[in-house]
Amino acid sequence: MKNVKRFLRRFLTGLVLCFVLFAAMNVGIFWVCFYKASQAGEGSGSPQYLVRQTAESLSGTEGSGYTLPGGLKNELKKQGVWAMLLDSGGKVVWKMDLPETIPLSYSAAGIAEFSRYYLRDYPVFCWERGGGLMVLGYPKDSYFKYPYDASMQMFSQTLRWVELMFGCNVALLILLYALLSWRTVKPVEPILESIRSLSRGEPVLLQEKGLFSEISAGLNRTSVLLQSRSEALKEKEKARAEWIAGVSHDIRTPLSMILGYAGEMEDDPSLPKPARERCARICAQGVKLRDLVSDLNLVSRLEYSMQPLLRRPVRAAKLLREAVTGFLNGGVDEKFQVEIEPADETVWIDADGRLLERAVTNLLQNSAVHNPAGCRITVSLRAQEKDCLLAVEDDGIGIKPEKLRRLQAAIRSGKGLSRTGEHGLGLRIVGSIARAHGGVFRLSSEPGRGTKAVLILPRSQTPGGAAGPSQ
Amino acid sequence: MAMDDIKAKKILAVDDQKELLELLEEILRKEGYSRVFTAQDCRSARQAAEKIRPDLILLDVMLPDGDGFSLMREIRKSSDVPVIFLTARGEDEDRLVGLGLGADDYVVKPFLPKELALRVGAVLRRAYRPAGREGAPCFTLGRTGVNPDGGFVERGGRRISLTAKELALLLKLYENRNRIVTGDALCEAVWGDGLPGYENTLMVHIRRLREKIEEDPSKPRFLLTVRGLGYKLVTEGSNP
Repeated sequence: MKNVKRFLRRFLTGLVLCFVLFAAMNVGIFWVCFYKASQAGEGSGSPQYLVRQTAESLSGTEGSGYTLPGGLKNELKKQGVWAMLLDSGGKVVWKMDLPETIPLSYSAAGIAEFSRYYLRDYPVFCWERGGGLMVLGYPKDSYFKYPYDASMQMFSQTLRWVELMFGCNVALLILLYALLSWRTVKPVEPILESIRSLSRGEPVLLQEKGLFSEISAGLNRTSVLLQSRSEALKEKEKARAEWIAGVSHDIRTPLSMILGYAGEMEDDPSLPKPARERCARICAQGVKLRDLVSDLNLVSRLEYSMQPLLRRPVRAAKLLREAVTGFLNGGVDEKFQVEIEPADETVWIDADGRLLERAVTNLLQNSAVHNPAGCRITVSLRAQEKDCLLAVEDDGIGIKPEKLRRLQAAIRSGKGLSRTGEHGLGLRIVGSIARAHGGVFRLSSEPGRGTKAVLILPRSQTPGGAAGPSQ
Repeated sequence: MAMDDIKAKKILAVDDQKELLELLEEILRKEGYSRVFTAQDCRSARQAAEKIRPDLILLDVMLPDGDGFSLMREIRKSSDVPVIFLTARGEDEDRLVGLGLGADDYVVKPFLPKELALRVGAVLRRAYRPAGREGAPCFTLGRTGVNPDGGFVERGGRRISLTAKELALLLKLYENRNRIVTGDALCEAVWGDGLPGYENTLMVHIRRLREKIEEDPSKPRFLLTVRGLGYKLVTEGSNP
């Protein structure tokens, strides 16, 4: 709807602008024409001017006779104008080229009748001269004379009517235009909405009719295509995860046999010592293989959401203590100093405790494995308003920037590190576990200064069991 | 309880893989268990359970004609025989924890023979210890003898009695001897509640315990503090 309104507003603004332009143009043209016409009407050649000139230039009196200056006379003759002067009694006392049909004497009523109209079809113009009246007659049909009388009230009312009419017209036009545009633009809205849905990966189904039926049909086809592709992809991913689960399941028995018999032989006192040592190695490698396979399975299950999360409110500080304790109890060389910072005991996470502990343990093991010369490992918990940060930091050899970038990319995308032959499985598990809990995993490092791994997880909003001591 | 009693217990191993059953049998026999029986599917397992009345069942989760979980539910209707599940890490393990089926323990496949033998021994001892006795053994810490049943420690011929909380703490630590026990776990064992709020109480009890078992409580040799985590009872060199 937002878009339609925006379109409509734009169309209407355009329309109003058009009106303003039209009005401006018309006013301009009108003004120019009117000015020209009035110039022409009041210039030196106009009847009004001539009649006044004639009245003022005519010299003499009724007794001595009248004379008109030659120039003016010629001008009048050139235009075919006749002239006459009436005295106060209505009698013609001077005339020039007066046609014969024109009477020589007029009553007051006669004068009043012709003065503003025609005299025997001649358009006439008058000017008062010393109690008399100068009359110029122009050739027939050369001027249109139409005197118009109106009361002031009616005149202003008419103006208002014209304004109202004009206003109504404009309003109706705008309304019609708006309606039309609305009808044109409205079908665009579902199209825009469905494009938005497509961009979010949601399916769309538009009605394929109206002005934009082709676009709608195209969008529908796109949607079907995208859906089928993403479904195929999901199927494929799921199949892969299931395949990995199957393989890791099938590996259990043969690996059990290897570990079982090698373990037996390792403890068999009847075997020579070197043979038993070799069996111990087989066992150690078998255990590695077992862990690897189960890690692989866990990652693939986490990434394809096949791993059921047993989420419960977990106290973050306790979880860290348990992870570190488990790590230390597993037998850690003296060259590694593991420290845990005192942490906020009120931070709870809604988490699968076993998985999360596993993530922290993985980070601890990582620090130990990659720092064969030993290092100090610090575990800390920092609480923020919505999240909490579980950090495992070491002051070891660090990771080279180039490798760090690859590792970070692998954690982000959940893809393996194909180039170096390293799978980065340990870190991927951590990343997957963080994602499964709605959190993120960040890895940073400086060569020579150490590595910092941080799990950022959402805090649970309702602490589960924040009851105080009940001694 | 004599060791021989445990070794004489009847163990039924159920797994669909014949080789694995052979391996299980061999491991258990080597450990001294002489009466080991096997079954390859639910049906024969059910029959065997009826006939032999085993004292412990090792049960695979995936069986050709059913799953271990429902088989256990069925067997549990008529007997309280302890069950150890053989599971794959991942789904089975999670279901096991999630369902709270009351299995006595589980061993993740693939496993080391030592792991399996340890679990089997522990479950059997727990399930068949002589009735009426808590069965906490006496042990020594240096020159201090600890007698949990009597609730006292003995040093230089002098008996010092332990309070119930002190004894519970000491036993929890002894159960996990030479391993770190978190403060949380200790509080849960003694007060049945989490650490927050009990830190100081725990410290007080640990101090009193040290006064009773350590020769120099300010320089403990046995009951060590692991900063930020918890405590550790070191029994190296002393006989459990």
